[in-house]
Formats: sequence, C-alpha cells, structure tokens
Amino acid sequence: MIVGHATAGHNLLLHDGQVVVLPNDALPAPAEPELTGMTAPDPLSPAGRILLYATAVSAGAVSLPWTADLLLNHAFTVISAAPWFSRAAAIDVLELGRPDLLARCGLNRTEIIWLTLIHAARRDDPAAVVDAAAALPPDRYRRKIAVLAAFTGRIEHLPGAAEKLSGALRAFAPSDPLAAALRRRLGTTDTNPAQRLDDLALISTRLCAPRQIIQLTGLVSAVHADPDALALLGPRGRLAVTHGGGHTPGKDCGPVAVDTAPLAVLDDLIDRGTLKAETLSGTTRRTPERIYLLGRLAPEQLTGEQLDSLGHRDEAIRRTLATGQTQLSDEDRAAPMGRHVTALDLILRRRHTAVSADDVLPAHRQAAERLVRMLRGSDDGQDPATLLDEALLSDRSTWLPLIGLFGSDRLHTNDPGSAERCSEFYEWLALVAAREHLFLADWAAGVAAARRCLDLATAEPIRDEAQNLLACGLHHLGDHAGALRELESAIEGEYSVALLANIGVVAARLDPERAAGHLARIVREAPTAAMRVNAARRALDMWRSDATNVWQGEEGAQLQLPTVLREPLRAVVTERIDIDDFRAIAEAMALFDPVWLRAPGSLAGSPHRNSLEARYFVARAEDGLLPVVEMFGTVKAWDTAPAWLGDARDKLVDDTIEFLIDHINDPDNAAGVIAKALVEQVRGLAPRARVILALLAVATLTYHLSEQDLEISDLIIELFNTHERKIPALEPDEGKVPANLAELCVRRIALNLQQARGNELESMREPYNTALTVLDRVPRGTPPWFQARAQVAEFVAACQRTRTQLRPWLRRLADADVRETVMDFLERCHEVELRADRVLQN
Amino acid sequence: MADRNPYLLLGVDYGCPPDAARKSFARAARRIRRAGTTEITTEDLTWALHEIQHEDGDPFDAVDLFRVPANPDVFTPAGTGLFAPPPVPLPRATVTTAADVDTLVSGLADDVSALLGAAAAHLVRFDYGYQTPGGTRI
Repeated sequence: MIVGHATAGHNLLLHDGQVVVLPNDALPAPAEPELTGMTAPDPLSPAGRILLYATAVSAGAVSLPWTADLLLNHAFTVISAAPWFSRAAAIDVLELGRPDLLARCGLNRTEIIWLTLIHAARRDDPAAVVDAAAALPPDRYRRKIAVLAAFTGRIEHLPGAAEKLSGALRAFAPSDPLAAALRRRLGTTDTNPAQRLDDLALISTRLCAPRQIIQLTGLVSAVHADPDALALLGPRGRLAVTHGGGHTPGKDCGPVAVDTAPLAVLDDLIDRGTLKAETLSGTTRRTPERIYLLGRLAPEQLTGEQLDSLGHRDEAIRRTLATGQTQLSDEDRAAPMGRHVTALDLILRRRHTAVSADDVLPAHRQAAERLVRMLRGSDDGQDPATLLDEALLSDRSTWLPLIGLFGSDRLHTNDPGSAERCSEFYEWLALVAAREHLFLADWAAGVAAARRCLDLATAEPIRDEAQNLLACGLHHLGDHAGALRELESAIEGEYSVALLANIGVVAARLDPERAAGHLARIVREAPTAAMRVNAARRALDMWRSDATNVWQGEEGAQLQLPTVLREPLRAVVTERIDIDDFRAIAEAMALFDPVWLRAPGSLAGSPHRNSLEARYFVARAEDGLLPVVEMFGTVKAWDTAPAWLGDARDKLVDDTIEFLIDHINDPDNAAGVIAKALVEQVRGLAPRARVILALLAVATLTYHLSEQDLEISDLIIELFNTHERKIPALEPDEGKVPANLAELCVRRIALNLQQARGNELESMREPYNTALTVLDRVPRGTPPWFQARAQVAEFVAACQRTRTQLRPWLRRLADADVRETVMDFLERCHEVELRADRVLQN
Repeated sequence: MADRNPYLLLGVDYGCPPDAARKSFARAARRIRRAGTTEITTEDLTWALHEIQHEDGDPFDAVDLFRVPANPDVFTPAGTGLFAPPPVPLPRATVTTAADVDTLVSGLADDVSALLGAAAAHLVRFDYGYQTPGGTRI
C-alpha cells in the first residue's frame, strides 16, 4: 500500500510492515481490495485511502496484512506532514463514521465540536446535537441556532436540554428571533399558544418547510389552508381549523377532538352546522355533556328520560303533538311549542277565531294564517275545494288535518288546472277517499276513487297502493280475476308482503288450479314461517273437500297436488313450525302426496319427525289402513293420548262400521280385516263399538270365505263367541244393532259350517260307496274287508262330527228358512249315518 | 263475495292492535252515522272489534283477509310543517371564552410542532461550513 510520497518515488508499505521507497516506474500494478458490507466514499485528503482501509480492517470488511492502528498511524503521519489537508482528513474520517478520529486530524477543539455537532445532526441524533451545541462557546457559531431549530420538535422533550442550551440561546436571543423562539419553545421564557404558533411560523420559514406546514402555522392561514395541508392535521388541529371556519357548514369535517374540546367550542361548531350527531358516538365525555350535545344536535334521538333530565319541554311537547295529542298541561301551554300546539288545537276544533298568529312558531306562521283564512272562507259558505292554494298544500303536514276539517269529498276538485298544479295532493286525496269508501263498504265508490288516483299518480308507492285498494273493491264486488290482475301489476315493481298476501286472499276465490300457483308463491316467498304455513294450509284446504272420509273418499284421495304447490309444501312441512300446523299439513299430504310422505327420510328435517303426528300421518300415507291400525295399536294409554289422535281412531272406527254396514253383503273382505285388526290390536275402544266391529268382522269374513267355498277358522268363531257374550252387558238401548249383527253372524256361520261339512261328506261319498261294495264281495277278516270297514267307520265319524258341530248353531238360529235348511241337512246326514252304522253292525 | 273483514269494517289499518281498534270504535260509529250507510251496522262494528281483540296469532302472518292498506306509509304525508314541526334543538347553555380559544390554538400548535419535528430532519442540509477546491460546500 502506498503510504506517502518522497522525492525519489512513493513510500510503499510492505506486508511485513516495512516502508520502502520505490521509484515511480518500479511500483507494482495497483490493486484495490474488495470491501465487504461497506461503501467507500471518495477521499478528500491524501490519507483518505489509508483511512478507508484502516476503518475497513477495524470493521472486518477486508483482510489485510496490517493492523488498523498501523494504517491509521501512517495516515495521520501523512496529514501531519501536510497540515493544510487537516480539514479534508476530518471530512474523510466523518464520512467514514469515525468522529473519534477527529482529534488526530490537527484541528482546534471548537472546530472539532462544530464538526461533531454537524455530524450528529446529519445522523439525526438530537441528544448529540444538544451536547455538541452546548459545548460550543455560547456566543460563537451562530449557525448552531439554525441547526437546533431543525430539531426543535424533539429537543424540547429531551431531559436537561433547556438548561444545556440556555447560555447559547440567551447569547443570540437579542439579535436572532430564532434563538428567542427556541428559548420559548424550551420553556426558558414565558409564552402563550398564539406566541407558540408564531414561533412555529418563524421556524418553518427559516427551515424552508413545505407549503402545507407553513399554511398551518397561523390560525387564520390554517383556516384557509389547502385540503392536502388540512389532511395533515390531527383531531385537535382539525378542531381549531373547523372552529375557525375552515370547513363548509354541513359538510363532514372529519374526526375532531370531541372528547377534549371545550364544551363551548363544540357549541360553536353546532351553531355553525359543522358537527354531526354521529360524531358523538363513542365519545368519552361525561354523560350529562353527551346528553346535552345530543339535545343540541339531534333532539329526536333523546329518550324521554333524557328529555326530562334536560328539562327540554319544547321537544317533549313536539313529540306529544306527533302522537296526535293537542291537549297540554298549563305549564306546557306556556312554552313556545306549547303555544304553537294550543293554536293548532284551536284550529282543529274549528275555533280558529281564537288563534293568535304570535302563538304559532314563526317558521309556520304563514301556513297557519292560510289555514285560518280557509276556515273563515268555509264559514262564510265558500267551497273548501276552491279555497285550497298551492302554498298551503306545499306544507304536507296540513294534508291530514285538512281532511279532518273538511272531509275528503269537499276537498275534491273538478278543476283540471288545480289537480295538475297540486297533483301530489290530489292523487293522495283520491287514495284516502278510496280507502274511506272501502271502510264504508261502498265498494263501487272505492273502485272509482282508486281509479281516479291511478289517473293522476306517477309515483310507484302511490300507484301500488291505489291498485291494492282497487283490487280490494273489485274483490268485494266479485271480480276476483280483475282484482288479481291489479295486484299482480302492483307487485311487479317493489316487493310487498302485503300485496303478496292479498294475492293469496283473492286467489283463494279462484279455481283450485289457479289458486295453487299464487298460494305456492306465498309459501315460497313469505317472510315468516307462520305466513308460509298459513298459505300452505289455505292451499291445502282447497284440496281437502270431503275426501277425509277414508272409506267414502277414495276418489278424492287419488287427487294429487299440482306440481307448483307440491315442492313448497314439502319444504314447509319440514320447517320449524307449530305442531298444529304440522298436523294440518301432514294430514293433507298423507291424502294428496302420500308417496313422498311415506318415503323414508322425507320428514327427517322436521323437528316433529318423531311425533305422534308424524307416525300417524306416515301410516296414513301407506297403502291400506293396516299400518294406521298398527300405529293405533302402539298407543298404550288412550286416556292420556292427544284428543286429535283419539278422534282419528274413533273416526276410523265409525267410518269402518258405517262402511261395513252399508256393504254387509259385499263379498270383499278388506274392511272386515281392518275391523278385526281394530278389535284385536287397538286399546280403548268403546264396548259397543268393539262388539259391533267384531261382529261385523265375523259377518264379513264369514261371508267372504263362504263365497270362496272355504270354511271359517276357529278363531273367527271364537271372536264371535267372545263378543256375542258381551251384548247383554251393553246398555239396553245399545244392544239392538249388536243383537241383529249376532243373528246375522250365527246365520252366516251356520251356513258356512253346513257348507263345509256338506263338502266334506260329499268328498267321502265315493270312497264310502266303494267300501260298501268291497264289504259285500270280499271274505270277512281279509285285509280289504278291514280297510273297507275302516272307511265306513270314518264316514260315520264325519256324520257324527257334522251333527255335533251344527246342532249348537241350529239352536241359535233365529231365521226359520236357514234353520229349516240346516235341519234338513242334519236329517239327511243322520239318515246316511244310520245306514252306515248298520253296515258296521252287520 | 269476499269474507267479512273486521279491519275494513272498523275502518282501521290492517293489523291494528286491539287497543287502537277499541279506540277507533267510536270514530267508526260516527263515520257510518255521518255517511248514512246501511251496509254497516253497529252490530257489525261490535263483531269486528271482537274479532280483532280475539285475533288468534299475528295478523301479519295471515293470508285470509285482504290487507288495507298494503303500505300505510303512503297515507301519512312525510315532511315537517305546521302540524309536524321539526325536532327542537336544545338551546345553547355555554359561552366561548378566551381560554377556550387558547385551547384550540394550543391544539393546532401541537399538531404543527409534531409535523415540523417529523419533517425538519428532511428539510435541512447540514453543512460543515467547508468548501472543496472545486467550490462545493460540504
């Protein structure tokens, strides 16, 4: 490394630390070691490169064969040999971040402190700036004041800064306003907010601060500052500017320091319209102040209690008026709003001659005077409709009172000019008139008024309501299709639940197919589950007819819900609805949509899926009635079962009895099977009903089996015997039908058994005759003889069984014809039995 | 013919609460008397009031009665005026003092001071007061 120059050449520092002088032409090729993590500033002094590498070695940025101290010694040797390079060397060490080396650069002490001050300022180190500035001679280095000013915002918070700098600032304060300003900012002399702002203006100017900051350094200039300057302010600064009028009234001025602002300042802002009620949300001010400010900004948001706490009677009276009340207490009548309301009360009572214009609030005095003039004109016999003027009608709050004073009919005008000039009033008047006519059941007049309104109105809400009233009138006049057209037209625009409901009301008067579509829409779109259910029930009622009689309504039961209604109903039945509604809908679906209802999982989403209702109606949806009977059979205590289930059971019993009695000679056994199942599986039936069901089951099943040429089982006979025995226990007036049925059963059983035994004997006749032939021809004691004799004995036994079985029934038979038939049969049977017996005796 | 509608008979908005319906009874009686109608009798009004007072469930869930009005708002003209004065702001109870203004100015000064403090370091070029041989201040 070259560490100096000599007359004979360059001083070259060798790797072993020796310095040799080489002629210029003997120097090796220059090489620049690469530095790691360090930038190399351009050196100003001849020792600059040596200082660079010394610093780099210290920082580990490069690996060289020399120590940093060795290199520094060579560097400062060079500087000491050329002292005119001392300041350049000082700059070099500062650029290298080594102010600790300043003392070796050959400068005096104050210059070193000055350089340290600037170096600290460049490093943005306020504490070091203060220390260096304080170390300088107080009355010298004027530029230190400007440097301190650049740090004014931060050094005033440094502990001890004011004391350290007091000497320097005092020395320059008389001649330099900036020094005086700094003294005030550091608190070494008295100041006030206005002076603080002036000082900031001075500092900003001296530092050439941006336009935005300079604009904010005076209250007046801040008020007129540009938006980008105002955007820099915090809530307190914004509050000051807003208070000074720096924001357009009514325009949101952004968040201001509402929590800390003096109450009077906020009042000023409220008076100028630059504070909004929303600004108060979330404020931490004390509750009384918050309520006070709300009362100033948005009195309508105060609660009654808050109004009382504020003693704000005018607003309380205004609210009383808004509810339609005009009667006030004596105390309230004395308040400005109280006098206003009292004047209104006089007008509404047509005591307008007693009204004093001074009592009316100034803002509404002209309207009151117009109304009083109109009343006087009416008193003089003039037509109220001709007394209306645009100015009065421009106050919409007078519209309802006008109707109360004169009636809608007397205000109606036939003058197209007036109607056009005040079209909003007259279309509203027609609407009110239409409603009034409907309230009086004058449907035709209501229709006419609604149409008159539609002729004038353009606003959708008014037109929709007019069409609603028109539909109401048409509906009551019987023109349901016309009503539906009006409602559908009205609902085309803005969605309305009320219009939708009215469509449902009117649609129910149409044929079920058309009604289904409209009611289905309500089931789909209604906002509440209860409304959806009501629409569903209304739709289902149309399908119900009298098909609920399970035996008589078979044709009705085959009805299927229209597709448009099916899906909404399937959706609503699984909603969280009342159990009564669930029962009603499930009942109808069991009838009209049984395939879906009985499918597994259909009711899985319903909260009532495990209810008695669900079990019962799913059973009803199954083919046949046996599942229903089985469901009834699961009920163990009917006295605690819900009434509807008991009613359903009793209805099934009654319907079954009625059907079986009506079809007692029908060979079909389906109802008989149900009757038998009811008797055998269901608890809690009335004794008479149980006896009748059992006897009907016996009669029907016996008849059915007889028709099939089959013999009844012992179970049927046992069923009969069991329930016939109960007839005497019935009340005297209850026994007639059971007795008749029992007689029928005996007759049918006797005939069935006679038929069965006759068939049996007939089937034995040929083997019996063959046996007789064998007995005549074969020798006694031979195997064929014994076989034939056994056959005859079997025939005899069959005859005896027949008599044994039929004789009891013969005694119970009341019908003479049947009795004779059975007796003939038994006699014939007896004869053949005797003959056969004689054969055996021989 | 449509079903009898107790709200229409009594001349009240559909879904009107029983208490309001009761209060409207006398007005409805006056209305029918004044109109001289024979379509509605006092017995009808009594029935209508009974129906409303014994309404089972929320009438706004029902779909069996025609709703008049569908939109009650259109019958009440909106806006302030003689019979509907606007809310009355509470009168002012304070006076702005010099101290209040000082508080404001102080807040502005604090904001500006903070702005200046943050900006100053970037505004000023701190020279050592030297000049290079080429004339550049450093």
